[in-house]
Amino acid sequence: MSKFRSPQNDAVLSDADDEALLVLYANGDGQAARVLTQRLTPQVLGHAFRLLGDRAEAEDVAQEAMLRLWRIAPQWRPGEAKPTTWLYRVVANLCTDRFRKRRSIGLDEIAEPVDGAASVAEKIQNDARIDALQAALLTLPVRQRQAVVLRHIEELGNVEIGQIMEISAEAVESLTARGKRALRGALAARREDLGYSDG
Amino acid sequence: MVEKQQHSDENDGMLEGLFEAAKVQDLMPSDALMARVLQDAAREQPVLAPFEAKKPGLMLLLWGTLGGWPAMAGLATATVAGVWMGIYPNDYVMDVVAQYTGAESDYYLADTFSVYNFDLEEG
Repeated sequence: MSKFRSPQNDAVLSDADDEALLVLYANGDGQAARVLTQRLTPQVLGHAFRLLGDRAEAEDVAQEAMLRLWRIAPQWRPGEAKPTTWLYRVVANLCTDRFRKRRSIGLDEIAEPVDGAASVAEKIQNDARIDALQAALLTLPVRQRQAVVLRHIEELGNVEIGQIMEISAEAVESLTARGKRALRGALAARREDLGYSDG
Repeated sequence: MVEKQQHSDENDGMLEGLFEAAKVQDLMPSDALMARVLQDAAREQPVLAPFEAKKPGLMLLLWGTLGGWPAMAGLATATVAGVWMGIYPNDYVMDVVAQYTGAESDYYLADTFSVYNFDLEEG
């Protein structure tokens, strides 16, 4: 417990970049591990959830991805790739492994969101929109889904996405364009439900 | 054609709205997940072995007693200088050597102050 708790250095470490923290971790700094965990786990979990659409599975993937980060830390070569880029790639590979183990889920099979009776109308609609997008994303081929999520939700540039997916920036552009077109098609019929009225 | 383009624009707007909603989606990890990740980090963290100085052996102790490399460097320099002077001695060296070996001069021990013996005896 005490290995990860020393508030004096927190401010300094929170300003350090991911690579520096990874080197500190590899040199035995427990606080660096805590800062990296707080900084990267939400990103990793979010990406895994958007690719998988399942919270429990996404948590398993996030933990596994972070575990691989801890293990690669002693051999990390600074300047070659950002830890987040590396993590997105690991998450994608882990998700691909899971896709192989299960059949893809169609849009119609996704359960509609069930909100509590006390939820306000705005929150219900917002949740419904998020769920509808997630369901539509799950209908895309994995590579298209990954490209769209990285580009339009994680807001990464095409070059970095290309590094993550190990393809060219042009190929990323093509994947995201096709993905968006498919999403528009999948969601067009739900415009009214989601509160996007005509005109 | 115009109507089709209008639908496309509207769907673009909807899609952008959905992306915006997804960006602010609360996907914070649970405390349990954070704890598991931290446990993994602690378990996998490399432990740097403490530095332990090697206990010196007998030869190393002797070497240190003699002064180590600095002393050996001086000794080696003196040895080389000695060999050099032995092979190519200059005149001064030869003169000094000749004094010891008696090559050209003879020296005798003479009591030049024997008179004091008398003084001492006299008191």
